[in-house]
Amino acid sequence: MKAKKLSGYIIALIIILLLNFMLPRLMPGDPITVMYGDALTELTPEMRAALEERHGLSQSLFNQFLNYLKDIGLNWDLGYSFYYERPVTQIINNYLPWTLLLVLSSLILSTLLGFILGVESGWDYRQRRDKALLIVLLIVNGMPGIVLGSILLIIFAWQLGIFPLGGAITPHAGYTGLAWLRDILYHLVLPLLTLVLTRLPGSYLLMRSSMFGVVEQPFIDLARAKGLKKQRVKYVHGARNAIVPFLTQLGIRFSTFLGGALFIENIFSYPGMGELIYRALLNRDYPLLQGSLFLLTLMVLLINFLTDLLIVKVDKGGF
Amino acid sequence: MKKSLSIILVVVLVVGMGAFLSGCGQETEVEIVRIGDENGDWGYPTPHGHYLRGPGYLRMSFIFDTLIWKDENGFVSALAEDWEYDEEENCFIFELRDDVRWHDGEDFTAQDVAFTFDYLQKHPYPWANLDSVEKVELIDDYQVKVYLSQAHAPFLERVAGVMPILPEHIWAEVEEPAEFTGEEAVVGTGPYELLEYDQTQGSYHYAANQNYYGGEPIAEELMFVESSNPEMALQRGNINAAGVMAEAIPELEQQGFELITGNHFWAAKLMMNQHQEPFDQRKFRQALAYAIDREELVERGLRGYGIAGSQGLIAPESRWAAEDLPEYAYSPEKAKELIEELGYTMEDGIYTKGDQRLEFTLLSFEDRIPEIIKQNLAKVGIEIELRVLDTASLDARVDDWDFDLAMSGHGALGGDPMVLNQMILDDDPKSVRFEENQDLLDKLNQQLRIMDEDKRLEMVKEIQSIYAEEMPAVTLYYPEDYWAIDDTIDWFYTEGGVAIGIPLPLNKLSLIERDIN
Repeated sequence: MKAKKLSGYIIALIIILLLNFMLPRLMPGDPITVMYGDALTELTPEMRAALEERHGLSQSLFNQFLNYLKDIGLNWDLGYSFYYERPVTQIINNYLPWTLLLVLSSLILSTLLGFILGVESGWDYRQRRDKALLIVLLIVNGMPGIVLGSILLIIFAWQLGIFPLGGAITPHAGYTGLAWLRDILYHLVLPLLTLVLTRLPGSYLLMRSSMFGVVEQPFIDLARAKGLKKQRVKYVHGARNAIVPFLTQLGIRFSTFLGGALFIENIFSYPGMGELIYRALLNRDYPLLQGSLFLLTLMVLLINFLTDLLIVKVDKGGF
Repeated sequence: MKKSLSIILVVVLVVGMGAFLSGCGQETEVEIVRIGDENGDWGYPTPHGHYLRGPGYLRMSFIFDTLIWKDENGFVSALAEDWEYDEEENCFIFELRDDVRWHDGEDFTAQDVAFTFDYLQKHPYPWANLDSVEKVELIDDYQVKVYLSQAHAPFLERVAGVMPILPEHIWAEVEEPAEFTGEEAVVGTGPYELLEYDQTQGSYHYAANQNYYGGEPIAEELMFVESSNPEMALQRGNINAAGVMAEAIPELEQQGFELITGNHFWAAKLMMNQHQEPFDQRKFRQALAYAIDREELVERGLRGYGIAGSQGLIAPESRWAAEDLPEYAYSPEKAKELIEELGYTMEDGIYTKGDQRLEFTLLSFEDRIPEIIKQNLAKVGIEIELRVLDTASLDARVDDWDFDLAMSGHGALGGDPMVLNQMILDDDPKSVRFEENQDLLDKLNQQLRIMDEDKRLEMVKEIQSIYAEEMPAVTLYYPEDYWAIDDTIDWFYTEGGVAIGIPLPLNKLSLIERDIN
């Protein structure tokens, strides 16, 4: 059973490696032309040839693929970016932390909030409180992140000026220590709020329906009959049994958070992987695209793997 | 193109909500000037470190100086006080300033200039093609002779006015210029010194070079910061200047910003695949020019922010523009006449000849303008199917001649008329790659060799005439770009664009009290 699951992960990894290599190259457009674009600089044929040589583009596709595998497999080297003229790992090191900060903090926040609201709503199924919550969250749910983000930006950053218009830090402010941390949080609020709000309904609805399925079970009546406190019955007896589908979704949700972050980073000029991948895409920067996608998919796989382990644990501990 | 969806949404919402903000705080003393930019990061500000587009070059240009430079009226002296062309020897003689110091205090001499030519020949810099340079000779510490391999008219604008001079005492040992960073890498002679470059946040921070030979810069500090909503950032007072959308102009004006627009050095073109029927026929290409209402493209498509295309490609305000070009004024009747002369007859509203119907695909990176073109062409019996692609995909299709019609465009139309050679002959997806007319080919090659500007101008005008006659692409319009600036710095547009023709008002001389020059 376990070996089967592990081999599944390995197959997924191989497919990912292949797709990450092929997909960028299947896009029409040639990186050197794109880079030079409408710059109208005088790119002589010799210079072009030198550039192609330098970036390994003159080699056959098969050789490029072998090199890519060799670099990743042997040296954990993700290659050298065409556009930035720097090692891909170095560039990703600068952008990934911001995405992780945004994704993880909003994942935690929206999961916690969705969990609590879902439990409360599911417990009071079809009562007034449940209905009110449901309506509000369904409205939020219908709103794309890009719209919600723009509204928040316009109200809180542009009109009221409470939060910054974009970026992850105040440029060249030279903050250190606590001031630095405050500056980061200050810039994080709006993108975080956007991502949390757009993702909250998903976890809320899931928890709500799963909770509702549990509430009617006899063991809840039993727990009540034992005279246990309401909160204890709700969260320990009820929620714990309802949580498995919620946790299974966590791994998948991580990837949707990453996807959502891409657009939201764009609205707030937040310097994360979304911005990076978007530009790599426009610039046809194969190594950077490859490296970024590989790393992100690897993260998703890892999170799924960990969720699998977690579910087994929770399941065993269940009633 | 970039972030277009979010921008449109933001604009819609902005308009919907109305505006109430108070004007931004305006300072009398210029301590720091912030410029907003949608992309933010344009690479490390050294010649080989910056990304290849214009904004990358500009960020480097505040640190490194060239031999000569341009202001709103044309060439001005920079590191070279004086220059002249010696026809007999086919060389340029540059008299250098003797009062220039590098940011690290070392003296600047002719040796550095000779070194730079040598260095950039070994490590090519795409902005300055040195193929025309035969050798460089030092006369003394402040005089240098640059010999050309053959007469090359674009030399001043494309080499002397673009090539950043590097300090020999630093770069002599540098083998990998693209990877060279740090305090030494950004030692130049320019009006600003780099304090910090933050690639991830997309921002640049400079301090004024108090010893600048052109005088002390007006702003003590200069910053380029990333701002995906420059209109809002301006209104909040976060930045002092930025390029803005035309839609935001009235509101920004109301709030006291000055809106400047400088030039029409970027042209949108309708590319036609001359390798396939019927675009291989000059008459048919001309018919398209008559059929497309370029005034309507500007009025409806650009909401008036632009001017209709001149068929000589060069914008009418350029000193290189030809006057009496064929106009191809909008006339569906004339277009139909030409199409019928080619043997087509109208069937069900579409011109047909044998089994060939005039139905084409038009590739584009947006759909507002092409939609109007489609309507225009429908009136003359040509049916168009639109396909929107990203720029890279579109360029790839055009490059492979895998298209019927395609929207394209490029800048540098204000600079040296060498751009005509690049846009007519070069193997580049933006170029029409039109080699059918031998006379045109000859004249293009000749104009590069005519060192006398007046004589060259005559030749350049003839080239535009032939181009307009042959119509390898329809020049559709020149859009107007707007910059909103507050009263801190009087940013100006450069004659022909900065360096090879960057159409942005970010000339470093805007930051210098200029009666000195």
